[in-house]
Amino acid sequence: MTYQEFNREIVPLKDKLYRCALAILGNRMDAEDMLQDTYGKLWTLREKLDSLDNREAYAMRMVRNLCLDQLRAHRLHEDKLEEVFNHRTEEGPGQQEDLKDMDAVVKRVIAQLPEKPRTVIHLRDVEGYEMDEIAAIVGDDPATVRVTLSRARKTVREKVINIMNYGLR
Amino acid sequence: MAYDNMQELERLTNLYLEGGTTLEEETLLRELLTSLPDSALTPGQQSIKAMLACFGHMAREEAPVGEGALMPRVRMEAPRRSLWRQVASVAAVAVLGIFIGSTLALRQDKGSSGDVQATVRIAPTTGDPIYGYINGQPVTDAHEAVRQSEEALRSMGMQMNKSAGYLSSFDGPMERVSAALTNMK
Repeated sequence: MTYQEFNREIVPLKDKLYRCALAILGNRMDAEDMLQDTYGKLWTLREKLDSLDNREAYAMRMVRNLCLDQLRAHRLHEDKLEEVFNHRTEEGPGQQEDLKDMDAVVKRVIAQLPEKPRTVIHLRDVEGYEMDEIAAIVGDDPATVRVTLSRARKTVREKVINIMNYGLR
Repeated sequence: MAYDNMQELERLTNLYLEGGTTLEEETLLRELLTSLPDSALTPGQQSIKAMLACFGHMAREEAPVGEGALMPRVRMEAPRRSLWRQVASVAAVAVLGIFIGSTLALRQDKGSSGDVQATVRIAPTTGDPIYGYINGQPVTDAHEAVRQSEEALRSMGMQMNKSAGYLSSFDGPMERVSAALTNMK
């Protein structure tokens, strides 16, 4: 893959890659750093990109894997992550104001999901990927992805209903 | 009509929660939910409406870095000569050309007095001595030839981000060449 091809085909994916990193890491600065790292690695592996059918899925899988590596490196496992997000929720400024903003509520709820359901719901509902594409990105079969997605959507829906009825607790 | 919409909404909502909707059906579900007031929706549907609205907003978020910020890292690994290297190369070639020209034009031998004598090439049309060439044009003034040589060396030294002090090592030979050229006249 030449410099021009890379610039034309891979660089325009930056927003999707950034959003995916943000969904997994939950932090804009970390997501930005991850984006830079991902592009550095993609350029290093540019010869391999030529032989791939779905370069976008490959790039998304790479950014997810790099994010997971970072989470592991920081020893932020799922429980720890949830703790961090809960901590932010409890101590975040303007908590009551946020309740009026349904976007903020939904984002909080999604951030509390474990990594895989969070990534799956992001890839489907935010990025609009097909099931088989999501399966290729997260390394599951499409049927498993559908089950994961279903559980994630139901969980988010229930939590949003609870927050709408009773507020943040 | 409204009843049909509500039935369709119910069907799509259930299908959505099961992960069974297509992307087109999800677009239709979003449109149906948006077209209805919250008071007409169940809490579950209101929740899904909020979710889909949030997803739509999230999808518009852009990376805070421009494409240019991503490419320099790429360029670092791509072989490319910097501008100052190109300029220095051109200057080096120009200086080399002048020196080679001077070497060929000046045949040095020592006379009985020990002074340096030189023989230079003569321009066939004007009869003037040619000390070198700049941009293909013959240099017929000896002092101009020396000045141009010094200028080219100094320029090259500046491009290479070094002090021009080392050029003093050329002063001795330059003075000798200059003296020889003066004696010729």
